[in-house]
Amino acid sequence: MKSQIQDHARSLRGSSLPALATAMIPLILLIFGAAKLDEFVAASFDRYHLRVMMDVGIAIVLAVSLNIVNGYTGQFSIGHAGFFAVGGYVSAALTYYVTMSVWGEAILIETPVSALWPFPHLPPVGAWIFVGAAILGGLVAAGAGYLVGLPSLRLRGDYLAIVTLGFGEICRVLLERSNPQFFDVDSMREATVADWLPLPLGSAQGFTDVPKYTSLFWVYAFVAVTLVFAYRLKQSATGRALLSIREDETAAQAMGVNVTLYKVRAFVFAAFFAGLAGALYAHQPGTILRPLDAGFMRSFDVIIIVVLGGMGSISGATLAAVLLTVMAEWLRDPTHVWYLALYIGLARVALTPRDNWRDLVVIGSSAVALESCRAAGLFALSFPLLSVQVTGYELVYATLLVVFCILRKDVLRGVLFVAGVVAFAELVRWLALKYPVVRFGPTEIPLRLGDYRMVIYALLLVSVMIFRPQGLLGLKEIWDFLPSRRHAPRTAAPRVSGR
Amino acid sequence: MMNSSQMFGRRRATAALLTAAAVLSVGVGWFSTARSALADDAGKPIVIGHYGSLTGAEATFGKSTSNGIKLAIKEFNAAGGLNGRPIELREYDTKGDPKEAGTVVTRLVASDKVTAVLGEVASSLSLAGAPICQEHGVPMITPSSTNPRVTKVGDMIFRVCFIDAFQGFACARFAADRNAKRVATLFDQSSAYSEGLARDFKRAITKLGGEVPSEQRYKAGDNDFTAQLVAIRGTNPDMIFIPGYYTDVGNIAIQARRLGITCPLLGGDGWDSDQLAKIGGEAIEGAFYSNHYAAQDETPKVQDFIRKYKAEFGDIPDGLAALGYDAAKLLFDAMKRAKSLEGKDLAAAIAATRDFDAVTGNVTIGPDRNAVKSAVIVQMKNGERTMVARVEPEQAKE
Amino acid sequence: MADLLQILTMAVTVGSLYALIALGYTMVYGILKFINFAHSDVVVLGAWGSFFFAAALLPRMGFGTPLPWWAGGMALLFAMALCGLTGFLIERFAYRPLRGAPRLNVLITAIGVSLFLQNAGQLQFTLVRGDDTAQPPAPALRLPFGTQPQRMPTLLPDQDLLVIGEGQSTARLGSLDVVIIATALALMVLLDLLVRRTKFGMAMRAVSFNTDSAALMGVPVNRVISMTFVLGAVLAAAAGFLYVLKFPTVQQTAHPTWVLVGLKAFVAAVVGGIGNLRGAVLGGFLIAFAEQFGESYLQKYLGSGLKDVYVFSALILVLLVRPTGILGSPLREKV
Repeated sequence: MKSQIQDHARSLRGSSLPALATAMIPLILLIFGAAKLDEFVAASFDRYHLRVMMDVGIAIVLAVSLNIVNGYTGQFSIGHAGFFAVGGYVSAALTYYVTMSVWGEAILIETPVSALWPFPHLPPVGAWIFVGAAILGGLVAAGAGYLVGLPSLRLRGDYLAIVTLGFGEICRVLLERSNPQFFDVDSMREATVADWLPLPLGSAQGFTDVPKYTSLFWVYAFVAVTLVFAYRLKQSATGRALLSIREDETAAQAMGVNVTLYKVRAFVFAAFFAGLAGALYAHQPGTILRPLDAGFMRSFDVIIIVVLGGMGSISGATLAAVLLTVMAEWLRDPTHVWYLALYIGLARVALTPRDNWRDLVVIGSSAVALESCRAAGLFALSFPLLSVQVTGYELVYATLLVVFCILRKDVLRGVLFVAGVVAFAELVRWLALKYPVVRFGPTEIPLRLGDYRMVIYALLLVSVMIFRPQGLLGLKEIWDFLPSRRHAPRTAAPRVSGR
Repeated sequence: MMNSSQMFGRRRATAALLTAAAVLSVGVGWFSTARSALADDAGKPIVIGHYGSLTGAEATFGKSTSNGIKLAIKEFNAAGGLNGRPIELREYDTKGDPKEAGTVVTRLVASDKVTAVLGEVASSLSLAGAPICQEHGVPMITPSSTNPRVTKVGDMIFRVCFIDAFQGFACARFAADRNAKRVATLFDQSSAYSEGLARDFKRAITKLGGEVPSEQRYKAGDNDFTAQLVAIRGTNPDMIFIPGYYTDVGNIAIQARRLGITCPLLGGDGWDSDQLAKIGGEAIEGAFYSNHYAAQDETPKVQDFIRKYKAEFGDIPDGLAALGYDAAKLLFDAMKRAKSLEGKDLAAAIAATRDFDAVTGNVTIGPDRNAVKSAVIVQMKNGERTMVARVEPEQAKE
Repeated sequence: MADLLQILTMAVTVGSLYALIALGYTMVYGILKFINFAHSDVVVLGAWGSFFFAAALLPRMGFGTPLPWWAGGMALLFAMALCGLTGFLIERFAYRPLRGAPRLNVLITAIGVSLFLQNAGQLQFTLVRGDDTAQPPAPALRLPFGTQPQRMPTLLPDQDLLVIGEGQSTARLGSLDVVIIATALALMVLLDLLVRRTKFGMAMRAVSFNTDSAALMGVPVNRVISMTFVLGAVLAAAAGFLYVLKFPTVQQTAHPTWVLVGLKAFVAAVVGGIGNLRGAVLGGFLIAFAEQFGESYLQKYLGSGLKDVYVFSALILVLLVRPTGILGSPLREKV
């Protein structure tokens, strides 16, 4: 009996490559891709787009890591920002104080590792300090994850959630009560024990002047590690145990799954990667760490991404991280209502069941191409002939939509849909530009559409939840939409977190 | 395996890809040709940026600052702008989050290519934005970040308000002059402003021979201070220093008076708002706070500003609105004096500001790019703000 | 001694406010099994609604200062009506379409609704009747609320009813405290009677026990859920009104005050055993006692400013000893 099960398990594994290789090859490829991306982006985009891409990457790491607890295991954690802050603070303090005590000043250390080939091509010494600090930060966060996971011995569901929330809030208060930061090496040397304990993490002032090592390469290298780990974990025995806990905790227990052990493990893994995300954030140019980073508002941001992407779906979380981060930026500008409307239209087309993988690929690649053109300053002209201002890429988006609808042999509906989107977007934009707000009072300086950013964001969030409750991809991954997988047996029907 | 519909599907996908590629290339060819028709600079607006907390918990302060800036721009443009070039404001919301501050400042300097940046109220957000402005060589003036580290970021970063150390000293000096030896503090431990000011006040008052018998903390969002005030009451202080924002002070004052605490209250420039008298009511009567200017100042400048602001926004401006207004005005003044609108020249012009006649007092930009100006101590009398003392910047150096 | 009594008074006052809000959390949880994160924003609406009534509507109707004696009661009723309607609308348009969806989705929706209310409340339009050139200009009517904090008009004088001790060390029991405690207790008793003695209460309990069987027994489930939201919102309105009576600075809608009050009330509901009405009341008082006495008597050892830590430590301790809260029934696991 047992051997039969083992045989079956072996046959399920499918791949003939050794496990290490199946993990390492994509990892190496992805990290190589990150290096190339860094070069490409630095050459063709301005710093703002670079920055948004970094924010996206950090959001991906956070979302995919939270997915391990919320998505795979079905445990509801709302203290993820606590781990993020622990990782961020620990790594930042390490880089900052180590650099200061060795080099006398907390600056970027650009010394190459060694002059010998191939070392000059590797990142400089400082970057390796940063990586070491990030991993240590992740480990400390993982320790915190262990502590938070322990109560899951006794607590279930929402009660566990509240404990994680409490953890984040307690982290915040402890950080607020830390000592002031040392800003030069002398004050650090002269410091007494009372200055070191509680740790000099800057209290409410925040922890500043951390050497800014985070580059697009590091962000996406860490994204690669996280994605590969999350994917491999999902395929592993541990991952299946986690999924079984999500589907039915009691049944899993009955089948001999050590529920507490696996829950704690899920917390530890998730916390480790959240810590890495914190480290990336702490070393990013133009940020500072604050105790509020441990507060629950940041946790909510991540939960929103995970739920929007589809519980347990790695590619879903990634996609949602990209969409939400970019959308929040678009909403700053009334002219971007266009993109928003078009993107909603494209997403709607893409998410209808037929042919959606091709649409996704085409939309994705053309969106990237168009955005690159836009960032590079191509077709920055408007049509003087039309009364409305339509810029080139907007037109291209609209054309794409029409093409899809024609291909779908659904011309009438397609045209109506496009016309509707265009009319709506134009109406909103026209209203926004012409009558920034319906004015009643003595105020002469009107509100702009950008002022409604958070209101629109909230409404979009609610409508997505209502109209697509399973998230963008549901329990599936992007590649599950490929035709070769189309008829493959699906995993069990979705039953997410709680009943 | 491969049925006809799938083959058809593949052909369709190829068609879609081709169409997309064709449209793209046509688009590139078509639109990129027409880029050359760029007008020259004359009459084109000068774009300046502002980043602030227009939503979220800090929106009270961000909105005020934003209103002040908008008023200044409106006046400047009405007066003809800079040699006929109007000022255009690009304003982005930070939600009070340093992450967003970093992103929007990058957008302002790298994407929108603004001439100068104004912002942020909170020091922690200014600290996120300042290095980016410094790196891109775009001057930044913060209206009200009091943390000394903000301007230490580099030679492009300026401020028009006090730093914590000076204001802490001014308050301590005033307390000492009033023979208040024992001054308890009650501050918001989650606010960098409040915490920094409390720390510098303690340092200053200890130097002046006073003491802090009780140091009480609260957290943004606390409205009930009974436990802290009962502890303060037990030490029977001569004065209580409350370096918070006016939004919190009302409740503190009311509860202190209810608890029978009669000693005077003392605060910082975060108290400055017309709302304070309303929010605090009778409880705030007789309280002191340090400020940049006295709103009841007879100078027509202050009255004029208040009148215009009220006509524009329907509110009486608070201190943050005045500082935002002044930061913008100072920037325009520097633009007029600057050799060109290049970052370096503009920064040099800002640094050369001497005795600029602002609503919040005469501003001189000191060698470390901080505003050097005197502090006034204001007392609340019959709901009006009356000046009772003045502390000069030279006094702090002793 | 006087200090102790003073802290005790405050703990009871604040505790009754927490309890009122916690009831709303616990009722929704009992029926729909999800955390209604938008509840604290309904409290805000109650506070601002009553402010709007007392400071803007009444003066426009010709009742200037001093406000008439019935202003307090009317403001409370106005806030209750406003919040009840809002609660109904939120349930109808945001939560009902998600009936049967995973709970996490409903939770995100709740966060979305909360974000919406917070940010919509920060926008400001000013309505002016007639032309704005009239002298003196008609008092502006502001909609919704804006980002400036406002002062709640004095609806009730806070007179000392009881003073114990002398000089600097006195404990005072103000009329405001008594009104708050009495109103809160009255509402709680009414709710308890409603739930335990009326047919509607029976329906509520049935839905909370098992939605499907309740539906089979002819209970109009949707109507009961709607009414539960309305009830929770009405209690929240009362809490918001009483809160700004006690702490008269009406903070802007996204101010941490509201988040914090909501969070603590929610913790109170969990401590008492979420889904249990009496538990919520008990939890409310327990949390208030923990933060008040912790802040007063532990600050010698730990320093001040740790209210949140006491609250969350109390929560974790209670949950470790009783995983479903003090009065919560043990979780039934169905296989």
